[in-house]
Amino acid sequence: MPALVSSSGTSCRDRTSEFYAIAERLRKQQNKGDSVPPLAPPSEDGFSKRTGRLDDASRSEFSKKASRIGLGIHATSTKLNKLTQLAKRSSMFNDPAQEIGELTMVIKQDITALNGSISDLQAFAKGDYRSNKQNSEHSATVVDNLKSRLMNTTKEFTDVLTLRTENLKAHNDRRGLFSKESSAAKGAQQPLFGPPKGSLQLGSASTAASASPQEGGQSQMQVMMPQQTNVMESRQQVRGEGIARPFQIPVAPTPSAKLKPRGEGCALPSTSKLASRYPAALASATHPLCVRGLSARGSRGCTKG
Amino acid sequence: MDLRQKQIDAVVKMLNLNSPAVTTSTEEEDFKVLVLDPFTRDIIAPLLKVNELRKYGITLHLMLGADRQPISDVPAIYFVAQTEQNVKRIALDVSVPLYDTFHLNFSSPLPRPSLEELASECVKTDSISRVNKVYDQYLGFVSLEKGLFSLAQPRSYVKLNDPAAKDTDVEQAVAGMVEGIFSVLVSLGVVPIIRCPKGGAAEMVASELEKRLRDHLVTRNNLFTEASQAGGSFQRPLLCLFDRNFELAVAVQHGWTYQPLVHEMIGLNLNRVTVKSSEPSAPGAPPATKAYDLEHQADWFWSENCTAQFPKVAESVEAALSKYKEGLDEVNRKTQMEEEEAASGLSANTQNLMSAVNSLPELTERKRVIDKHTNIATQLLGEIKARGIDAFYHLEEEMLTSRVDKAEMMELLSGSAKGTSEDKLRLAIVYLLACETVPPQADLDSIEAALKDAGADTAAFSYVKRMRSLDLTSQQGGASALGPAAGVTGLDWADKLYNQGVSAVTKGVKNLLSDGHMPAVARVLEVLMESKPSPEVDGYALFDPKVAKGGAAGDKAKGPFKEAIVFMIGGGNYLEYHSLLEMAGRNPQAPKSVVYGTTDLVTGKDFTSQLEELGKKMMG
Repeated sequence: MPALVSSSGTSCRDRTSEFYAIAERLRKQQNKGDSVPPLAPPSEDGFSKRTGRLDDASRSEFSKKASRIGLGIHATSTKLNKLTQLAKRSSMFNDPAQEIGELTMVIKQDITALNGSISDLQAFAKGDYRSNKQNSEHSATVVDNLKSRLMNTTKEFTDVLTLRTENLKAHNDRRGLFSKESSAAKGAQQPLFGPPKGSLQLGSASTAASASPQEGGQSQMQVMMPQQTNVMESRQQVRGEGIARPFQIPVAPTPSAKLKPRGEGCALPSTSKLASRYPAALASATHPLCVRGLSARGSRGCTKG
Repeated sequence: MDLRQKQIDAVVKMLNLNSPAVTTSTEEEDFKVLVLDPFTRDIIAPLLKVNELRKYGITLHLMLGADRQPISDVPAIYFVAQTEQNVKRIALDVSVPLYDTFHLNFSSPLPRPSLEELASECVKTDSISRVNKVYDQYLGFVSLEKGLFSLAQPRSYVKLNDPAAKDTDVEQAVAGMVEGIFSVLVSLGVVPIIRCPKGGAAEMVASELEKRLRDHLVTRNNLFTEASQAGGSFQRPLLCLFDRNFELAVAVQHGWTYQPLVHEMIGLNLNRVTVKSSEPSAPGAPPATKAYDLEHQADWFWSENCTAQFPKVAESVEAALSKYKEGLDEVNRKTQMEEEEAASGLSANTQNLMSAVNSLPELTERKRVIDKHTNIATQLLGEIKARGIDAFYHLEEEMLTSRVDKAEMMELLSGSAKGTSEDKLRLAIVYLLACETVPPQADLDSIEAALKDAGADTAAFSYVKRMRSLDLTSQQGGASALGPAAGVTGLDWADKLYNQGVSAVTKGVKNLLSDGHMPAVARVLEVLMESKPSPEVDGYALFDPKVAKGGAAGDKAKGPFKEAIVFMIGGGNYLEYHSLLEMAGRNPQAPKSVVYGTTDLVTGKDFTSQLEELGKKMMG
């Protein structure tokens, strides 16, 4: 009787061994008793066995590259999950800024590298001489699939960064309400704190313990979130609050930007610039309080205090 | 009993090469191509869209019969019906080889001889090691909704009722239904109690199905063991089999609710409709069309309105549109306010704006759905007006529920009245079925003359007329209507299969008269599920595949039942399906769950043409 495979409530019957038994018998008949190596159904262990693929060497260059990228995206997603957890967990008094900063940078580099690999893969597929129409369609879909997975990862990444920025801002606001000193310091900081137009900044990657007012938000790499620019910019000018992000994604703000969902059409920054600048940002553990410029809320906090 | 979800799960598992679904795979990504045949394509189409297939690593889906080119280094999943022709084609693909490895899945069990043939071909070409897996799937049915499936076996009414049908043809048709229903039961993981009216195709299918289940249940590791262990409900469902002859009127009459109208007037196929585009096309070019999916999950308007009467649907479209406009105004107002406040430096909060922005995608989606239904309803309205469907519907409804007005009908049949010849023919057939006694010959003659004037072929009318007169003969023999019907008339073709089925024709109709408007199937099912004593179902056959042959059925077999599966042999429709849903939901304290299946979903027009075909065969 054929074995039964049944899980998650669905049922089907595996007849592979029945099929191979018939084939074995037929082969013996054919060869009139000569010894032939026995046929065995493909074993179940391991993934490449699952798909029935032969060893890695026999696989085409395209499929090797594709699977490497697939693995890369998966690895990046895993890191991203960790980053998300860290960002969500951080509180005013316990902020793993350094870890977050490092992870952010690594993920950033990963995404850029993967983006490059996908472009290579696409070029490779186009130049594949063995290709026929359906083979090309297959390759194109593989490339599309990888692209969209990477795009999803990138979007998640920007979402996490947004979350991070908001959290930091909330921490800062809360501190502002309770700290006289910081308000005073902030006043003194004002000249240092002229954010370049068209970008947002704040002191990120900061801990409450390490107060070093003179660093300000200036050494931070800046990110300008795509399509939120108009809003955030005006907000910034009104409030004079700095909102910085660990790196910058250059995007031309569109007139209709406000009404579009975020995270679309965001170009990837060059890593070299980031890589070189980011450690500096980490090194200069900035005090979040000093980042605050003169703002309605800031002065309110002052008078209250 | 969400049949559709269970089938989706099974298909997804197959696309994962029959391993349990791994959502967060740490393994390398695997891309696959999927090879289908027309039957399995119809199974997949309402379940998964192309982008969903991609999510499961399917890069291409190709037809087995089409020209296919080799694709290097990729595993191929075959999901096809278990036909000999398909097996031959697969053996050819493997020998080339077109793909790297082959994972074969058959929609229903592959017969042993076919498996041997496949093995023998593969041994000949020394390509056997490329065949990685051979699976029997039990997926040989098309599930369209949570509780609706079709076996995609067209024209089964003709096949079963054809006077010239050979025994082998009938047996083959019955075997196909048995295998399809068996697949459904495996997917649901239930062994039901089977009930059906005695005699005719229904009993034939029921006894064959019982045999199939019984044979399977004796094997130790059977397909139902797991389901029963995995905490399936203790109560077994009821499976009720009916033959289309049990009630003909519902298959012929005009519908007036949204889904039946769309099915009939525009053509609803595998949850898809193609509507003439509202945008004018270039002169000379064929009219542009637009295809829409109509699915409950993705379309709130459809799931709210598919059982609503048409005028109500038109109102709902209006209401939805104005609600959408309000929503849009709200967003604009908030955005405006935000801008002003921002400019004057008053607001320190972007919350309003953010919420407005976030509601935009939802609004856009609403608009898309509304536009779709505006287009569909517009085309429906045009069709309804041109053919005067409302008049047909109202008169038919009146005939079936209260009184039969021949004069009014003759008016609608006349050449000057609106409606196609087919509409008029259907009205006349409903009249014939609704009359308590067969109308006098003079009346019938005048109706036939009117139909001919309207350009209709009267073969279908003659066929139904013949059936009714058979029925009458049997009723004279006794009120029970269980006596041999067709034997008296000497029509041995009817005797062959339908000596009981035929007499049920008007029985269903009378039930309608006594109990407001409720198609007979829904009414009988309610009686059976609630296990009310009723003379009407006393004569029903009962099969329990779990009870030893010859043993008496236990008390459980008597019900009551919370869950039921209804299968209509010979073609069902949305009207009947909705009547079952309505019955099931009527008592909110004790809701019932009903799955409706049929050999094929047929429109009134299709069904009438099957009657016509039979009428022509009957006349020689």
